Amino acid sequence: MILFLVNAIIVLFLAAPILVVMATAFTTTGYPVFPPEGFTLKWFARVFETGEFTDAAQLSALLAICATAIACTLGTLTALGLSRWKGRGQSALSAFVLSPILFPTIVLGLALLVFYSRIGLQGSFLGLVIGHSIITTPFVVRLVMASLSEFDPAVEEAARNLGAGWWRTFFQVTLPLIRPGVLAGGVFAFILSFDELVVTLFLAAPGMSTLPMRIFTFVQYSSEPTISAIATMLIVVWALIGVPLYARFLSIRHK
Amino acid sequence: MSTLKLQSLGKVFGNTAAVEKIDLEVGEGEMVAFLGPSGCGKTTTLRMVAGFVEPSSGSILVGGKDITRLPPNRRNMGMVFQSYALFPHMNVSENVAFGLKARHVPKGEIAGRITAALELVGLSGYEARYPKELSGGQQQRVALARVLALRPQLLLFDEPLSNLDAKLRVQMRHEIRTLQQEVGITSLFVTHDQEEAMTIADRIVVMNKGRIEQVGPPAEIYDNPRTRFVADFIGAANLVEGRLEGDVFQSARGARLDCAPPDFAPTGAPVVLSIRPEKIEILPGAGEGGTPGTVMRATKLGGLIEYVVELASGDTILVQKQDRSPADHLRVGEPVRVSWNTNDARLLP
Ligand SMILES: Nc1ncnc2c1ncn2[C@@H]1O[C@H](COP(=O)(O)OP(=O)(O)OP(=O)(O)O)[C@@H](O)[C@H]1O
Ligand SMILES: [Mg+2]
Repeated sequence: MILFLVNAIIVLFLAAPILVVMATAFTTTGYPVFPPEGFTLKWFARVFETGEFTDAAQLSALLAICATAIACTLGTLTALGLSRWKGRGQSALSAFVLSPILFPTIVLGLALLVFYSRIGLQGSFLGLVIGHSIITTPFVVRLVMASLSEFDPAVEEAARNLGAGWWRTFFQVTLPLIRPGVLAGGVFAFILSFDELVVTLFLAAPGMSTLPMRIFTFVQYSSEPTISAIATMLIVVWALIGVPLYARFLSIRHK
Repeated sequence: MSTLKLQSLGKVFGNTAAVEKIDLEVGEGEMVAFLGPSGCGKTTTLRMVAGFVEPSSGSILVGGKDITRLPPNRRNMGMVFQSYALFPHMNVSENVAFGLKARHVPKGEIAGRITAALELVGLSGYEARYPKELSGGQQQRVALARVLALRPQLLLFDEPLSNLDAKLRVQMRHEIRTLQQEVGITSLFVTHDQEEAMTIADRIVVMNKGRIEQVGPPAEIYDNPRTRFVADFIGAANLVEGRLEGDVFQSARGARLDCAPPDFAPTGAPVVLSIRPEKIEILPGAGEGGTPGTVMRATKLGGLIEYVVELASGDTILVQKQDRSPADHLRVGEPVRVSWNTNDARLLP
């Protein structure tokens, strides 16, 4: 009973701000108010009017997809390497690999900017992809390592013993067994990249704008509920695609 | 031809020698058990044969062919693991099919080979089950079917029964032995359970600290241990320290005990007399014949009675007797005489 109450309060605290923002998207006033006054969809139409937001959303999605692909590949291979290396520097190396998680992103952004200026990557899409990959890869490493820790190494040896080469062993045995970790890492990486602002601000070229950047500049100059409308759409998309994905791959383990 | 030959095979990890210069020949269809205390190098030896551990020295020959440098997937050996190591995301028939596909067995043949292998281990009808839906014994049978389906040249077992409960262990032991003889596959079986080794193997390799102490059929290992370690490790043994005075054994405490002539050249160095407790005759009263002593302790062990007898010299001897009737029981403090067939008391260097 008490447990239920605590849960209810937690859910309320998590859900309340989201619901409030969603409600303000429908207000007829020129700024977000709660409770909303009247009902209109004009702020939603506004989002698509100039194309600024849709272009930014496209860039963000493309960036997040590229960063996620890189993070999943590198992160999985790194985790496999780390879990197998029983030598001395193992813990030092894994601390190093995971360190970007602990790094203030503002420092990372500045460092990358300085570095990119030297090698001529500043303001490029590739530079952004690399920056986002650096931020997201450690999370994939972490999650894959977690799923590797409950992995019986004898299973891979059994596969080799049964005649499978390295390739077949990896794709038919290892990967299916660590898949929950890889997918969770991928979902995490995507959200992180899609949401990233600080490092992106340092690295983006003047004309380049990701969705978080676009929203950020917009709220500096305007208080229109357009922003609530964007937030509402993001929440709905996430609820329709992200949450079911997450539930399917994370909670329902292979039988 | 699937004989196995290990030639001065060794493995060093960092600066510890896990296995030192092992030489062994295993004949066609033979089942050889590796027996020894924890950490003696049994698993390392087996894993070198399987190709998971690269030998530091020596070579491995199967059917006369040197396979020392071959990767594990090209060795044609079937290994059964202690943890079963089934693929948890595949059902029973997919588990068995895995190796057949990996070895490019023609598609039309696969289904038949799966059925035959599952029948062999008595698991027909379990094709669609997942490993989690099977008991430990059933899982180990699937692991067995998985390797048998490949008709490997060699079967390798690393303590395959130690995760099972005692009763099932005994039953599976016999099943594995029967199957192995039926199929006639040359096999290595690692265990630290001597009863298991005794019942399952044609020959036993007793290992200690990375070396082979003795190789021989179970009865020979038991009745004729060649080293102190083997005498002490296998079954119970009385080990009496002493030296040879001419042809007679004299214990360190001064008892003169009957023994078989040594089968090594006596050097005057200390030797050990080894005799199994059940080979000793114990007679009540202080009469003629035998070495006199006193019963210090009597323990009933199921169908056996175990006596600890202290000889006049102070040496203690363990004696086991069938418990036939309470009338035969000896009391603590009672004077007795112990004797044995000279051939059962062996001298070890
Ligand atoms: N990968 C490794 N790295 C370092 N040392 C190892 C490694 N594998 C085994 N050893 C060492 O080699 C020795 C032999 O180990 P092994 O596993 O062969 O013993 P075992 O006879 O199988 O013992 P158990 O009955 O406990 O399984 C041990 O001292 C062990 O610590
Ligand atoms: Mg072992």
